[in-house]
Amino acid sequence: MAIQRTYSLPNCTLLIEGISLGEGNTLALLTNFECRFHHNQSLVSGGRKLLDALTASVSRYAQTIQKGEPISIEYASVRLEPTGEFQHCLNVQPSEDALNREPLKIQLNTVQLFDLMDSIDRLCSDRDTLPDLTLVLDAGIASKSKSKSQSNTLPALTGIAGLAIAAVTLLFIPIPQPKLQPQSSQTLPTPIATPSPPPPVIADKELIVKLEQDLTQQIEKNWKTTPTFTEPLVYRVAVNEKSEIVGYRAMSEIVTVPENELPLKKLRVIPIDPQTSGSPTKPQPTITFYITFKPDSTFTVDRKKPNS
Amino acid sequence: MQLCMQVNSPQIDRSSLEQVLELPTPTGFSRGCPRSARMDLDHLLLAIEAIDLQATDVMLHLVEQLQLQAVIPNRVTFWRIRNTNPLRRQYQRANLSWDEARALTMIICAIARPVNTLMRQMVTTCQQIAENKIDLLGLQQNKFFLDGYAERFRSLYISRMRSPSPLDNDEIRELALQTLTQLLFCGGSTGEVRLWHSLFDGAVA
Repeated sequence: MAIQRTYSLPNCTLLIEGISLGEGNTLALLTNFECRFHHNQSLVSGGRKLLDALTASVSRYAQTIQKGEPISIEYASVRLEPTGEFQHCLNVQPSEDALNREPLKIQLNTVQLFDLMDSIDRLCSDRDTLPDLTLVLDAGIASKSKSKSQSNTLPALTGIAGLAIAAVTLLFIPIPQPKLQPQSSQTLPTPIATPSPPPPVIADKELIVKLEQDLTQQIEKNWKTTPTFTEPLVYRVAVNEKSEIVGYRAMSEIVTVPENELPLKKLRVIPIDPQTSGSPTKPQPTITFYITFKPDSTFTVDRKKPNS
Repeated sequence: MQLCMQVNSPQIDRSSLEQVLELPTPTGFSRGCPRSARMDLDHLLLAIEAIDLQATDVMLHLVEQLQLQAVIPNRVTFWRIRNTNPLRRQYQRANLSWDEARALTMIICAIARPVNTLMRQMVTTCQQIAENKIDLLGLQQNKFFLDGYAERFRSLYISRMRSPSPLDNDEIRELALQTLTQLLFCGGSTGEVRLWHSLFDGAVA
């Protein structure tokens, strides 16, 4: 049986044509629909696919208007976009399902769009016409079928079930026994007081002579400031095989001399080279010299501590 | 414009009432009704009041007609619920329960439906003002009517919201006119469901 239904609103009329299956009065199968806008007599007409696209796009677009921020929405061949504060454009691309062969562009104001939405909403809530067509709304909200109590108890039940399964599984796993090791003296490390070995001393005499000359040259080059001290100052200086000063220490009791006045700080090399530099476990070989800085800008380098 | 005349004999469709009761609780809002939804609901109620200053009595009358006494038993509860808008002067950091939000949604739509014709006219006037067509069409009366509404909305907003006002005068007018479009869409045949979804669409939990 062929059935026609109309949803009439001030600005548009939606006409649904279809057939009912069986005895009832329900329009179950759509043959054609027409949506006529009264302000310019434009017509959107087509089959089920176009109606679905129209329903989805108009519904979603109306929701963005209600939020106060209309944005373009496109579903299949139907697109709605804002063209002004109160102006909207409905675009329908030609498709196999649609009557129009050319792309349709229909300008609607907010009230006309509201009528289009309401005619579709009336169709969607009409249980006697296309019962499978439902209101398309944003999927931000869970459907009613999932009741609140269900959604709350499900996580709790999963948690309890998970604990029960874990408990049963762990029951079959043997409790690990601690391995008792024999108390032998071998395994226990006996702490021995090992004083760190004194750094090896360079014994090569030729090298020592060379190092002494190098040190003298280095000091000569770098000691440029006029001495402010009045007493000779004795420093103990450690030099490695590459004639680098790796450490120094004042032997005099008067250490009020600013360190910048003497070139030692500048010349000291912080050992970073893994080849030559040492570490606490492997000290590098060094040799000690005693340098005496005198107030008259001269200095001496000795192997032995000078008797000041 | 008297709402009472129209609302005293509302055409409440039983099937739509069932639909409203089935408004689903949105997921992902563990801390209850989001802030923006509470503000939107209160602004809609404020706009209804600005259309008719006696609208609060109409709303309380609707509570009985819609059988919402279980959620809103008296005037004080109604006042307390509206003060869950965080911008309110009397905001007590109380939250809106889902049922209270549902009740407000139903009340708003029950009023928006009979005044749908008025909303059409006011939204059209907004459009004509925006397109500078008022003088051309000789519709100055409609503009005065809209201006009167916007002014009542402004004074209600200033007196109810915290001071200094969260919005300046231009922003309040913009809100007043924007709310009219919302009210227009609330007056559709599925207004409740549409309003309910728009409240939580893109809201921050």
